[in-house]
Amino acid sequence: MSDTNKKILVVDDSSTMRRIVRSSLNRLGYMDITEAGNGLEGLTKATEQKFDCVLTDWNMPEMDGLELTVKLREKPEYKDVPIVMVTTEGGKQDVLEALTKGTTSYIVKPFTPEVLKQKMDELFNR
Amino acid sequence: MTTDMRLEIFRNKLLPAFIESTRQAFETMVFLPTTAGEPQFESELRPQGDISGTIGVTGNIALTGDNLRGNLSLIFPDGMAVNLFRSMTMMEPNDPVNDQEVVDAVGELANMCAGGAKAAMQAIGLNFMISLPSVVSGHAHSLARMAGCTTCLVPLRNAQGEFHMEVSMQWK
Repeated sequence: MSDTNKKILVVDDSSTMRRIVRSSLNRLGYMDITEAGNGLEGLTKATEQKFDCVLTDWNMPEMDGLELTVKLREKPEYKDVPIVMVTTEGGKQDVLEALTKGTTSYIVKPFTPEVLKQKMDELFNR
Repeated sequence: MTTDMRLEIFRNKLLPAFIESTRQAFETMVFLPTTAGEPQFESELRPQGDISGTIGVTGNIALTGDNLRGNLSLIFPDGMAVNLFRSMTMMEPNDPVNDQEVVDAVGELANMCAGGAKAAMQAIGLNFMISLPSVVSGHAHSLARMAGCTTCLVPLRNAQGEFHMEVSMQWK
């Protein structure tokens, strides 16, 4: 599967952020994007179909990104899937906690499209 | 900690971190270089906005054990937030935008402006948590200030015009 065919789940309670991330990913060639408005919705969608990468916000109602990460890692099919935390929680302690709980990588808001490109390139070895 | 020391921390640590994170959020996510005017402590001025976004903040200073709580608000005049949303999402100037999209964008901007300061504050021993954003929409509204808080109003300006950030803190 080429990188641009990767199925990506974008989880954020802000429709604005989902729109920004989706359009940035589209510009990088990733067209198969699914959106979810909170961790619970993201977990449901990730259960219905397998994604190749999950980009999730941290602070969300219903279920936050950290709990989503933990629950996804409990699923064998998501054991090795890249999960990227896209969040304003950029303190060292926050990053450490997210990585400890199973997050693969981290993007701190605000971020430029170049930062997202670099992260996706790293994840998929482009 | 004395009142003067608290005010000094507010003026010299908290506020610069919030102003810098706001400047970065607007430059990076809205593509609008934004400059801050002179902060006004306990200003009588109550800026009126058509939409405002507020984030609650709670935290403590590791060194002294002092707790604080407060909030950060962004207050936008008529029409400005719509243009900010268009800029954030790279829409054309006349593309239609619905109200809910603008509400969401204002909340997310407030979230980034408050949250972006967290790392800088952690580095100097100020640990805090932020709430989910709340957004108020209504023509020429002004925000009520929490009793017992020290409040600072910061005028901000970019190519879309002038808006305000209001930061209120209470020490416990």
